[in-house]
Amino acid sequence: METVDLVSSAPIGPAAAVAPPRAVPARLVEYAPGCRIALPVHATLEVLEPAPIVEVPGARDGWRGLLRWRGDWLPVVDLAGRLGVEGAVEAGGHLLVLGWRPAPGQPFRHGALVLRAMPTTLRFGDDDQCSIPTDHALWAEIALACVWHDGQAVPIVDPARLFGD
Amino acid sequence: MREVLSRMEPAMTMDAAAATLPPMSGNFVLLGSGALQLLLPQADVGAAGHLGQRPRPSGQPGLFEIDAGDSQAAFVVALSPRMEPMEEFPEGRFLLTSFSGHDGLLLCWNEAKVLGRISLQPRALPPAMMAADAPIDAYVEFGDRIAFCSSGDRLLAHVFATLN
Repeated sequence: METVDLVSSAPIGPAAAVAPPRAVPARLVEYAPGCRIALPVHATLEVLEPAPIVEVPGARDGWRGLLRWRGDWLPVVDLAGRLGVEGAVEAGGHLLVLGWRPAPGQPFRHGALVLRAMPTTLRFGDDDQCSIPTDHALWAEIALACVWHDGQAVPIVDPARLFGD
Repeated sequence: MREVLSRMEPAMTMDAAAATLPPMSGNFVLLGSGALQLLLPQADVGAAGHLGQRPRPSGQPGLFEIDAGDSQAAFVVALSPRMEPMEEFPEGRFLLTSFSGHDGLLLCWNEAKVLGRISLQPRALPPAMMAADAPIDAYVEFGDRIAFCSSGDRLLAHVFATLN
């Protein structure tokens, strides 16, 4: 399985070079056509080539199954499917591995997010902040904050909340 | 907002992706049908039999019939990887199992293996992933494969619910 290491890599995308003062980087991930979320850079670990996913009986919509990764099994989620929006990726898309610590001192956990395109990196400051969208109840569960970018609200998603921790 | 994006620490340390549950010990049966692998307590599973005839449609989608002797018929279900009754009876399912307390309904498999006196380490599936009435909530690893943990009652309740 070929991977792209995101932890040690340089920022992705040309806009990453333009850094407003006191701005911090975030990965932008397109989950449906024209719809994006932002993720903390340190939570994004690897982009994986399409890989076999074991379907899980009784899984809710948007949960693809379990993926073998570095000797472990990761839950795989398609955010478009969870939100019930058009544009869910067919089976076989690239995957973004996310890592988080559920609580201070607890072991790291990992999950994988279905990608429509390669993530990009942008920097955001406090001036970019906007309200978390209310068009779907899931945003209140998984988003920590929201930034305005390119005429669109981009929720900053907490990986732990995304995977239900 | 900047705190939200910068407060996390690098998350490369390898640790378990799933919460570990108390070990399970005893006798189990591993039932396989293609990508679906299930682990049930042996006490829940009746004797395995050979499917010597191709089941015929019963008239209800996902439910098939076979002759069970004495002019009686038995109902047969073949499960998909998502544990849903398949409307077309698949090739290669040649093993039949019954389940304690659920006479008259048989499930068919490619593989049935008894795992006697074994200790297994189940791993929890993320609760957010699972529907409230899901027939499983954990899995165990067998090398590079996994089997989902269930029970006869949960499995059959799921089958009946998806048939109706």
